[in-house]
Amino acid sequence: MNEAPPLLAVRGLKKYFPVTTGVVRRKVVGHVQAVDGTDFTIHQGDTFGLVGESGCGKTTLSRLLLLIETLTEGVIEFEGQDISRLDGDGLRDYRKAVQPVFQDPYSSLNPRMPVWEIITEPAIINQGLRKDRAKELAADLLERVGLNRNVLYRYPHQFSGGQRQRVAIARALSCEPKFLVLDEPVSALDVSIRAQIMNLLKDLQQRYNLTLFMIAHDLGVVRYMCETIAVMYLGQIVEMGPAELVYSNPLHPYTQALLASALPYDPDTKTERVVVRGEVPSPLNPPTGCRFHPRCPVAMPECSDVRPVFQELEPGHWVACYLY
Amino acid sequence: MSEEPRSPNADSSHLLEVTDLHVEFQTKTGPSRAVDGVSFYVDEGESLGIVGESGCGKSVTAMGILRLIASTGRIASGSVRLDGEELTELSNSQMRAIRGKKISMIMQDPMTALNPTFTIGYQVGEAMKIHEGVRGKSLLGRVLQLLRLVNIPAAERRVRDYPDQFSGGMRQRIAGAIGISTTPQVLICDEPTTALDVTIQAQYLELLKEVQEQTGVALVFITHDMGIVARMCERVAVMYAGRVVESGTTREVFRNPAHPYTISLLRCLPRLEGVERLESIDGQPPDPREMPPGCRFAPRCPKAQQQCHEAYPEFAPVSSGHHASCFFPGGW
Repeated sequence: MNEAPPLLAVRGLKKYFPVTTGVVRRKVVGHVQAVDGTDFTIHQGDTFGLVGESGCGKTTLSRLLLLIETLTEGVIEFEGQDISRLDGDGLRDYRKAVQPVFQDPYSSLNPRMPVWEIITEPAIINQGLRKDRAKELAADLLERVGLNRNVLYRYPHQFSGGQRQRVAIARALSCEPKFLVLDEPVSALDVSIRAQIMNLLKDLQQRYNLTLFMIAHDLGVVRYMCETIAVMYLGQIVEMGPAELVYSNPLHPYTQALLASALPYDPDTKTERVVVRGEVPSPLNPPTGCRFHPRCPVAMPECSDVRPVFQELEPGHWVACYLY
Repeated sequence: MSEEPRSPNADSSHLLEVTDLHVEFQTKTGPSRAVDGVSFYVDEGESLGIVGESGCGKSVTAMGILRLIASTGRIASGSVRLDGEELTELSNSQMRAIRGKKISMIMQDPMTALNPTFTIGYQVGEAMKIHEGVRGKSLLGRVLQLLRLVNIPAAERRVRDYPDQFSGGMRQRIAGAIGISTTPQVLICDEPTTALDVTIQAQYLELLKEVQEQTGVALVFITHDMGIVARMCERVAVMYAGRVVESGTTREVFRNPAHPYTISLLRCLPRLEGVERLESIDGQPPDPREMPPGCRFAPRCPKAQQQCHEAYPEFAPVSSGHHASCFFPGGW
């Protein structure tokens, strides 16, 4: 991997949500272990893809990076600084440097704001930009994401889904960020529009030397966009490595199952019968040991006892499984 | 697709045959032709995929077949024949006797397709009660049998549970159980797995295959996912802006796509093997109230000539059983 210090380093990250009962006297009866001990690093200019099924904690992880949620345990370091200790200017700089793009461009844009206001809101808040300057900036940003400069005064409903996602990307760029957190940025879009937006993200990344953290459930999308891929299952990263390695030589049985479940776009490819049965267990009361063991086709007795160590099997390729 | 898709009485030997179907909606700015001359057929034990992007009219086609078009819309013309019977001419009560009995549908979203105020046992049994008059113990037995078929664990205990007590995957399978409860001849699946995770999707698709093998039901998949078509369907019809632009066997259409829209669509899919750069289709589909006069894909088509902007190309054979609406079929 890279020699330079990473842009983002996450160590032992945990996020537990308390579950309470009672209306007047609230009592904590358990915790949803949404993120339970994850470690990874992201280098400048990389695209890090996080895949996993719904409820595995990938969105919670992204919200921790965005400081929307506060972490329960662990450390997130950005440019060498612990982000949970930031305040004042440091915090403001972090919020400028790290910008989100959300999944659904129909609900992530305020329907009552004209586009120029939507796009420049972060810059107005973070940099105290004046109105006339903001409109100029908005027009520039619209051009950068492939929209016409003169749509400044339009409202979100006047745009199609793909155009809305371009607006959301323009908003993320308004503070000249270093790091974008993309939560399923193309899954709400049509196939033909998806390719447009993915290509736009790639171009912008190159032009502005951006680092991307991207969540997706579509394995093809992640393969196309990301250099490094992490596979998450029930709050834990079970496998991580360079995209080519993870796809050509998946090590964890869950990764193998995910890849086997993906439908190839070729009527002649005969895929194996489904290997995993059952559904993802509740994160409120996750299985002991390896969390995948109840569904794992090759589970062994030790799998249910102790969580397997996350180890580096080949350069940059990590896995948590007793098979290795 | 029939050999002469424009003639209404071409071949009535197919199980379900849709011919030149037009569905119109009234809007403030004039009529919107959501479905504008769609033809296809499906036979017993067969799976047909109808693919297209949002707004291309694929769901409205399904609703048209079932005569479930919202009150602002109507079937303007065309024919839907099921087992030789013309559905568009039936009265509402005659149609009710067929819908849910001979032809069923699994709706897209398992979160909203089930009624939250009734137990799943009631909902799975409802169609059998209405159409077959099954009651009491024998109804419960049939319901349990169906729930087991769709892999709901501990069916005896869970039959009295409400939809919110089930996961998304289980709800989708329950919706599937309702769809097959009366052993229909045709089952229309509208985006059956978009709400599901990949491992659950794979399980669900396999379940549908098993049901098809056992009952011989004809499946119509309405989807935007080329992967589902490749895995599940023998034949495919590609829709764009209210019309079928290409149809044929899945293998032929995927191997030798003829319409530039199909070609572009297949090229812009991100594949697991990874590619340097994806091609994308510029622009977006036309507004159904202002359709271009010629080929509807012409404004976005890299091969479009003058002719394409002036006249709509005929739905013509490209090879045996493979049709496309294009003046210049093939790649570029």
